[in-house]
Amino acid sequence: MNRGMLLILPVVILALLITAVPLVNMTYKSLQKTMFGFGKERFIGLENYVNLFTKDEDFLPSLWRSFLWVFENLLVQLTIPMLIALLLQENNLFNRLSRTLVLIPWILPLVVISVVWRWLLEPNIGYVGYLLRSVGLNSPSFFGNKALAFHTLVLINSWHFIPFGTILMLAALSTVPQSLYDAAKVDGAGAFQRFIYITFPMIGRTIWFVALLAFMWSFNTFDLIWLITEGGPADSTLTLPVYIYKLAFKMYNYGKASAASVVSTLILIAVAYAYFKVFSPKKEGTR
Amino acid sequence: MRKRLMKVLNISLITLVLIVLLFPFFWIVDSSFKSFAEIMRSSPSIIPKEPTLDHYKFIFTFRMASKDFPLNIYNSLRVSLSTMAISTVLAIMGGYGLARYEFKGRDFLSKSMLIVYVLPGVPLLLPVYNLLAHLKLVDSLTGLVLIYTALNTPFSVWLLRAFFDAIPKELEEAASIDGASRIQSFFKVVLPLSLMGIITAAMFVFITTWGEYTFAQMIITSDWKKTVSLGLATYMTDQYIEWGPLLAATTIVVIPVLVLFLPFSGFFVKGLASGALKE
Repeated sequence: MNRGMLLILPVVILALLITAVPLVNMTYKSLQKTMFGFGKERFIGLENYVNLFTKDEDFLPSLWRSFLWVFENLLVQLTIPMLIALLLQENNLFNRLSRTLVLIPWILPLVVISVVWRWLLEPNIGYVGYLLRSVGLNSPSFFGNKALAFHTLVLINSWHFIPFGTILMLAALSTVPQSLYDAAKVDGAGAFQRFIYITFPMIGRTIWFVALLAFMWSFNTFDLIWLITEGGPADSTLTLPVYIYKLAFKMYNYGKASAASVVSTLILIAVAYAYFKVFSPKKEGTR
Repeated sequence: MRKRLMKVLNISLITLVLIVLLFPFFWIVDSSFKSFAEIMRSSPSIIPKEPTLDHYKFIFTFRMASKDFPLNIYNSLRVSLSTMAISTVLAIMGGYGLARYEFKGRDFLSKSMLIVYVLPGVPLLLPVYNLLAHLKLVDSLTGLVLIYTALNTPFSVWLLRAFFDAIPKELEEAASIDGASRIQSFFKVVLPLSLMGIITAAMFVFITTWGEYTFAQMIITSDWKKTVSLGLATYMTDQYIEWGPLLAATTIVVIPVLVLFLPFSGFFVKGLASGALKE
């Protein structure tokens, strides 16, 4: 065995321990019928999967909700960080300080985020409600309202992701050579044109990378939703991870939960695979 | 004139963004100095009317088995620092191995690192729990360190590989001509040059583990093993939220991360630019 392989081995073992081993375990469990109370699990083939797709009333809606959730999140999480990054692009003292401060939402623990937003958006004692009242509006119940809860959570989740997205976008912007901008300026290109014809093509790949990360993170979002709405009201925020958690830890239906988990994992693997298939650099030596 | 105007517009837009992004955190810190009655007022004021340190005194002096904030901090520090140390050492090894040695499957491994980092989520909770139960590591901080290390190291490897890649091989070769062994030249040449990346990777691990909630709440059950996220959750029950202590504790939880992180955040941006985005 080569020394390089030896050096990477511990990480590979750890990675297998939390991905491959659980995946095998999960797949195995998904083929078993869960016996509540006593009694041994028994092999039932794909019955759990068939049940999920044909009989289960919550699975398909939660899967659909997850895609909607990812879509809305991506919409916000790709545009806003790009705009903020463009604002912060110039290197001066004010911007350097701002770049640091922008990171704060990202390093707050999720428990804290869920509490503070629940509080800020509480209709009676929340600051947002207070602001709305002071301009003569009534504060809606953000998390009590079926239509509002979902979008509000998207915004909070995005608020949490924006710092990281902004940093990645800033990093991407910094890779565009200044000389290109200068040349374009000489040729009389305006700021908007410079963005469309120079910046955008050059950092396109990074945008896709941020999109991949945002996709996977959003698809997996659990803590935030669980801590704020627990999937409610009336299942309006019951995305796939939340449903899986409920199946496993509230209904103790391990077989079904495992089957849903396998489906969820396969979706993510497919997305990652597609990303690398499309974007991996053409074979050129090192990578 | 037009340039001036653009600059003013730029600064005011950034200020607006900062207000939206930072207000929730500001509000936590600000309100932690308010009396209970003032926190609950429906027309809150920005500046505390009668500033008080009562909530801080409370969380540090009122300690009982089920709510012991100083102990939560101690536990979290142990977990986060251990994870950070182990994970960073492993990531340096792995990243260096990927960057400097040719072997079959290297590219595949490199990419898998990223996938392994983004893949786990709720679907893996149950199987990971079963695994820990197998290893007799349920309800143990060691189990938590194991999981966190496994979850975070792949990303660090990926980040550090790019840093090591950026260091010219010739530097190491020059050192070895001067008689340094591979290990010596690693410590004398590679390590100092990649310090920025290593700090970035280490900070990343510390921050993500410090506030982690989902795995912690599943694995840890004993009160005296609770980490800060779980500690904060003890101030919130379905019926009642102890706002004062909760806000004070939150402030205390976030401040060390800020102190640790913000001075280095410049490196962090640069680190990601040269590391994560390089393909």
